[in-house]
Amino acid sequence: MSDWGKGVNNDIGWGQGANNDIGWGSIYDKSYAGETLLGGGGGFDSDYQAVLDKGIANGNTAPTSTNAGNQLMIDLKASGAFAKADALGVLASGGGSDSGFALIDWKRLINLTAVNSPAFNNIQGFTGNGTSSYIDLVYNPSTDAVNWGINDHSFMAFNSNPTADGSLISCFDSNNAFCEIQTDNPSTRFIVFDNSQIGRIPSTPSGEQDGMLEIKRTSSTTFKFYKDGTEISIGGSPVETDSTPNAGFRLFARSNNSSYGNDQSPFFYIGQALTDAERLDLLTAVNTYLASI
Amino acid sequence: MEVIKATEKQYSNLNGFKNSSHKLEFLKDFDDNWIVGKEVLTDDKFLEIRNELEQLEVIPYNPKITEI
Repeated sequence: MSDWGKGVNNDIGWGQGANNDIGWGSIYDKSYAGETLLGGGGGFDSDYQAVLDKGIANGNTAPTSTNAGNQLMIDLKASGAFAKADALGVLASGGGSDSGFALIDWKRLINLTAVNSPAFNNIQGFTGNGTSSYIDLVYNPSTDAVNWGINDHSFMAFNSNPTADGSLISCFDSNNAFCEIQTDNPSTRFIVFDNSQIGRIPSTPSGEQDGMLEIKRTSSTTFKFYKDGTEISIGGSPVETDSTPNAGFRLFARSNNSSYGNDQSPFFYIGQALTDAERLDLLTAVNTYLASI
Repeated sequence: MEVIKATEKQYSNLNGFKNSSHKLEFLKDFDDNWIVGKEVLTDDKFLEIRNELEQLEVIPYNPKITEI
């Protein structure tokens, strides 16, 4: 499929009916046969439409089927998580889509940056190379926070390929104020950090570090770790400070250029702390989406 | 595992190259070399600078270790 909006008979945007068989218009033909959809209006959730419009503006290639993405947006909004997000990315962007479309932040409608060629698969997301590649999430909690609060935040990423000593998602400044979810060597533990609170989870069975991983902080002395929506007890003696990291969040590496891993991620969220119900609804929405693309 | 190493001149010429949402960014290894993974050599997003990237020296990966 060529880029959308570039085909014969499609000179005023996608979704123009039966003569548009190249790009996004064909999707509309299949999903909304008989409707007149000039300029891309109608049919989709307005926030998902905005993601598609951002893709058009970028010159990206959309997924072959946009129904799954639209449903995910509807479900994320219904969960309450979308409203609480500061940054949210669907890196597994669906069959037929390109990496540029996958790098659109659904909440902020900005482009994330793929640094040093992390591998891309539109069904699985991005994968770090273990030496130098990462995704710059273009989000610094010290300067970009809208819903994030130092004592009211969650950050999470889905990990499909945990690797020893690999940083899945982190924000790490030069004064050692940091937030991080890392799979520890020898791949049988997690280490989780949040504003210099350090926790070690010593007994996670090998091979079970995958899934949706989240840190949630709700007070100066309380932070919790969740795997697939279930809280996992954090061991060790957390050390608490109240400094918000002044650095950008990354996937697959720390912002001090260490802990490069081969983790693979199709989804991330950064924002206000999620309730148990919001967390589970978000998890269901993402899992449903991943199973449908 | 191998990476490619840039001289200071190559680093100055290539570091920070961007093509839409894709960026080249060297980092220091344990021996203070400017390095980047070999994946950039086959990434079409860096096609414009591929000839220059192919001039970089291939060396074993020796990461800088930062412990917390």
